[in-house]
Amino acid sequence: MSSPSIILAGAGAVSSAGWGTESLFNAIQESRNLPTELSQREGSPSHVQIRRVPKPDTPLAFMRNPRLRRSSPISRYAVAAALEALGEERHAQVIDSTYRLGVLFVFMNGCVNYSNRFYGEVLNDPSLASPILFPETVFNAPASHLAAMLESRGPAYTLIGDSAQFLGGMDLGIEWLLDNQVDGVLVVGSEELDWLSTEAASLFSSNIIVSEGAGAVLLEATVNETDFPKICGITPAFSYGNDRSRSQATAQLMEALPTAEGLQVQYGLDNDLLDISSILGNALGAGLALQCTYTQTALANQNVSSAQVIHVGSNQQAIGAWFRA
Amino acid sequence: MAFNAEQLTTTSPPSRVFVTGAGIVTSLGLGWEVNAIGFREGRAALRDISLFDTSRQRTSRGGEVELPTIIDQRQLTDRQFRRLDRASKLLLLAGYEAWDQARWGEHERQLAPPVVIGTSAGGMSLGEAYYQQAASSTRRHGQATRVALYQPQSQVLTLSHSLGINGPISIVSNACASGADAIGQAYRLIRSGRAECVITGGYDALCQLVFAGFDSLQALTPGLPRPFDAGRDGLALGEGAAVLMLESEAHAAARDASLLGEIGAYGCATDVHHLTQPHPQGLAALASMTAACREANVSPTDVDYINAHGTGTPKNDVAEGAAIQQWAGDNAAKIKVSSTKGSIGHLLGGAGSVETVVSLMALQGQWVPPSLNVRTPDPVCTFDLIREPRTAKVDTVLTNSFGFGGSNATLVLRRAS
Repeated sequence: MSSPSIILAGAGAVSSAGWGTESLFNAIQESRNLPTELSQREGSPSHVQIRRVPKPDTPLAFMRNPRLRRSSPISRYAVAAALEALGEERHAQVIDSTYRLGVLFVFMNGCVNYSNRFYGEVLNDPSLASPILFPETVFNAPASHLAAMLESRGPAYTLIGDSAQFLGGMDLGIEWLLDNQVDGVLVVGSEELDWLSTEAASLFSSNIIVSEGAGAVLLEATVNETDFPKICGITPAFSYGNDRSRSQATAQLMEALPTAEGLQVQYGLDNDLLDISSILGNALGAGLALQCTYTQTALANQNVSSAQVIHVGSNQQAIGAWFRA
Repeated sequence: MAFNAEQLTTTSPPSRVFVTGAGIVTSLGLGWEVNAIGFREGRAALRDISLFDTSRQRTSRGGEVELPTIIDQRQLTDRQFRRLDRASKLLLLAGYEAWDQARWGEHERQLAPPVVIGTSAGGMSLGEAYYQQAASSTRRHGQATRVALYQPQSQVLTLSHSLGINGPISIVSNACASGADAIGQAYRLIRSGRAECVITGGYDALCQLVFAGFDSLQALTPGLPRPFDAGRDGLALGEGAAVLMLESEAHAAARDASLLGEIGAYGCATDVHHLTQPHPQGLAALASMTAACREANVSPTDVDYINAHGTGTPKNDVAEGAAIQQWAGDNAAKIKVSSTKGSIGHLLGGAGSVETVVSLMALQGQWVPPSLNVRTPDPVCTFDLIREPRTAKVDTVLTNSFGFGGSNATLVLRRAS
């Protein structure tokens, strides 16, 4: 029996360019100048530039789900991106248990809106802190909401790491597929804006434009010929350490990647390759998810026949992947 | 870890996965020996928390660890060593013990073993300090360091740096199932042949945000935690860490390693019932136990002991009990069950890994630890609820971990042979 191919069977996005992969793709193709604003908190000396996700054109139907009633933007963005990546047919199969779905939720900051609110209440008077807020501060609350909304009872993991973690999530999703634990894996990266994380990001870069949003890809394994883009490889994650600096990790990553051809989408390299964060803003843990989503769309649209995604993370790892149409 | 479509090999028989090193830190003390004695004798180690103000909470007790005044620096730089936060110290102490017990060295460093660790809060106390300064002052001094070090990758990278390894890192944050899911994922890396050796485990340190959060939900007992007692009224929070060194059978055999036990299987499932409450019948718990036992090819008659999640909250214990009943069927009465959370509290992201080490202790020592503080067992306990320390034949153990958000995980452990 031939080895299966791992395909990108779907993609979804919510970004400062709007809701959906089409908005993301067009904004990047056109190098659109997306609006920014200043994040200012009363009493704070920080004035950080941000790019928000615009309000959706129409009300989000999925917000009628009771699990999402109190959710913060990180969950809403994730659900929107996941539903787009999964598609209605697959979602119906998940609900009737004919499709085993795995969920991998990846981020760097997580549920900062509710953490900010809840801890503020704790400092004010812990005996009055709201029990409604606390569960939404837990790192895996968004993954839980997503799995519940999709009615997916398979594995649902939350992975935390620096901004390069999303490809580690895809790598784990491939393991689940090759081990036949699931029929498909949704890998979702999502972040939300809050002064807590915005001001923190500005401590490391004075000219950063902090953003938010979510990217999602649906991975499947197939032995059949297919029109979906294929994942050819994911490099090891080159962790930073006392024996491997960030620049050394980057050099090892570049050696591990095959000779570049086609589209190259990078973050963290000092070169002229496409860096979509220069258009969207820095979406932190969701940034690499949006890199992958954009790449999937470019390959699926037949704009390019091959692509590489390269991401040099802030404080943990450098990693890359290569794809073909 | 890493994927290359051109190098996919045909499926080889799954490797057996052995534990060759284990380190543990709980409020009972530091290390395998003191913890084994504590769990074997049914000691409790809950005390008034000194780390933050609890005067406005419903309870002030928890499983706070007494950290040693001196910690080995190993391969950490002076700067890294000076910056160690509480969570990192817990993880390091467990990691050092596991590394030393496994007798890993340069050969394993060259393999760049993956590190798969679970946590629910990382270095949250540093995040709290960042918040307090940002909210009350315009000073930025020290803030960048707090931001960098509160993130969970900081603690896990610190462990890697201290041991001189630079393998890929995965941090699983599935709430209270984090540690068990991390071990399960590490087990699968070896079982599938993707790695020969993996460092795995979990940790969490007590912090104000989480303590106040559980208190706000009225999930903390104002008295003693009484898992599986009919009158239980909540859990106690604890802190700690456990780290395990996992090896393939071939790797362990090649170096004639001492075996502490075998990870026989891992099962997981998601409970979509409610964000903070389990399905009343424990359907996802049943699914994770069933999946793990199917993979291990064991039936309820083969299982000697279940280290239950057993938080001591009204809803968790009855749901888990119902799942055990349904899973075990007519064999329920013969299966020994206990929760060790009455001794050390609920370690959240560290719970699954610490309870895996407790289960290994039971397999090694041929005893089962008791559920403390049970006065009248809940009617759901149709199984053999262990209330006093007991010597027993223990060859196969299940350990359950169920988390906020519906993460359910079960590991099957076997006596090494």
